[in-house]
Amino acid sequence: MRARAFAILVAILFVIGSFAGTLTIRSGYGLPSRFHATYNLEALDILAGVGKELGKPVVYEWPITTLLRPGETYINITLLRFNVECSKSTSPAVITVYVGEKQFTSNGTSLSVSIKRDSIFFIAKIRILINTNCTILPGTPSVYVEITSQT
Amino acid sequence: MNAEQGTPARHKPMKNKMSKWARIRTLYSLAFSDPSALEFMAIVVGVLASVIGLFFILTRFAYSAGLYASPLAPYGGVKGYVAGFNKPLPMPSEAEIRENAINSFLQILLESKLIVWLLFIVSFFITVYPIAKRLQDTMLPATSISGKSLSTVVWIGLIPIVLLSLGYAFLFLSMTAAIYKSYFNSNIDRSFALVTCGYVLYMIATAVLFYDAIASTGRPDLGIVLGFLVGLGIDRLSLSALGLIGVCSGIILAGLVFLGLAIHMRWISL
Repeated sequence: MRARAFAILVAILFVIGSFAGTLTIRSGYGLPSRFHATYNLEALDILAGVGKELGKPVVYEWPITTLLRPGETYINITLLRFNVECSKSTSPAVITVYVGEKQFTSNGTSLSVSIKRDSIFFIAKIRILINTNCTILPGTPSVYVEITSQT
Repeated sequence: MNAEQGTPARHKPMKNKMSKWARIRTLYSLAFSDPSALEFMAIVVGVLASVIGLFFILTRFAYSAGLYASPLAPYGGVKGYVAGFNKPLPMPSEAEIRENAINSFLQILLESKLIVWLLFIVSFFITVYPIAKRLQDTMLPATSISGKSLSTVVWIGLIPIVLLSLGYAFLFLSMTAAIYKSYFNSNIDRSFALVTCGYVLYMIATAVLFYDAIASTGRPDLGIVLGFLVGLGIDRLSLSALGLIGVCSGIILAGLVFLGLAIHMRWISL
């Protein structure tokens, strides 16, 4: 009888634990609300040289996959140390971020968007298009990405 | 068998007439005493349920510690190319991310060594020792006959139990991982299924063997923690499915052999 009572107790605890765990995970409680990272755009000089010869822009892409608290999410992307000489009518870079099936684009060196999420997983792809018609000065630019979430 | 339990010292000559194998069989039959199919099933289901519950508890622990803050990228690094000369990077799927999260979760648990060892030690003494003590209580009438001290019997009895507990622990590696896989809708490969099936069978065997002892301690939940953590440790050895089964089987056999040897050499007497 003790074994049976114990098994019933474990089963009850399991049910409670499962519900509590599921609700906790669903709510994102305890998950971080901020993600930030800096990515270097390596070998831009070389790629830009090739791109200029071919008349094609240079593309940098990478995914960002992290666990982030669900809710209103703000994405800020900024190009740093990006030394370029361009005509006024031409944008030196185009920043695009893909979040799920949504896509946000900005002509310039920064992008700020906000989206609503209900998943604990933040999955995005960042795409930076560098215009090779502009003169790109030597150096390794970097991209600062900051994602904050508010429930 | 019942007539021999609690046999007073004056009956020692009669007891010595029992063959060694008969004594071994008697010990195992003690562990199987009072079997009830319903209660046995309840224990098995209860233990499985605990594993699933534990998964949620540990997941919660990892989240709250902020251990998931690092990027869980299945594709590493920034990819640069001249437009038109490379295929665009595909968007990672949520399934890949989930898979990656599982690996990170296991890695994180292992890397937090302090917590692992603390839980290991605490759960060991809370779980294994009471089981040993319960078995020792069964052997108690024999101590006066064999002339061994109580502590000797306890500690000799503890060794095979520790070995068996370690084997039991491997079950939770596969079961917990299988639950992870199932939870994250991943495919369970053949090796994984093989290991899982092997441990399910082993779990049933162990549950039968320690049926009464587990029930009497009332704390096998902490044993699950122990098993889970030991299982994680074994997992990091990167053993193949067959390697895991080999290690598990070896430990189980070692435990059983030691138990048999202990009876044969009269370290433990009935």
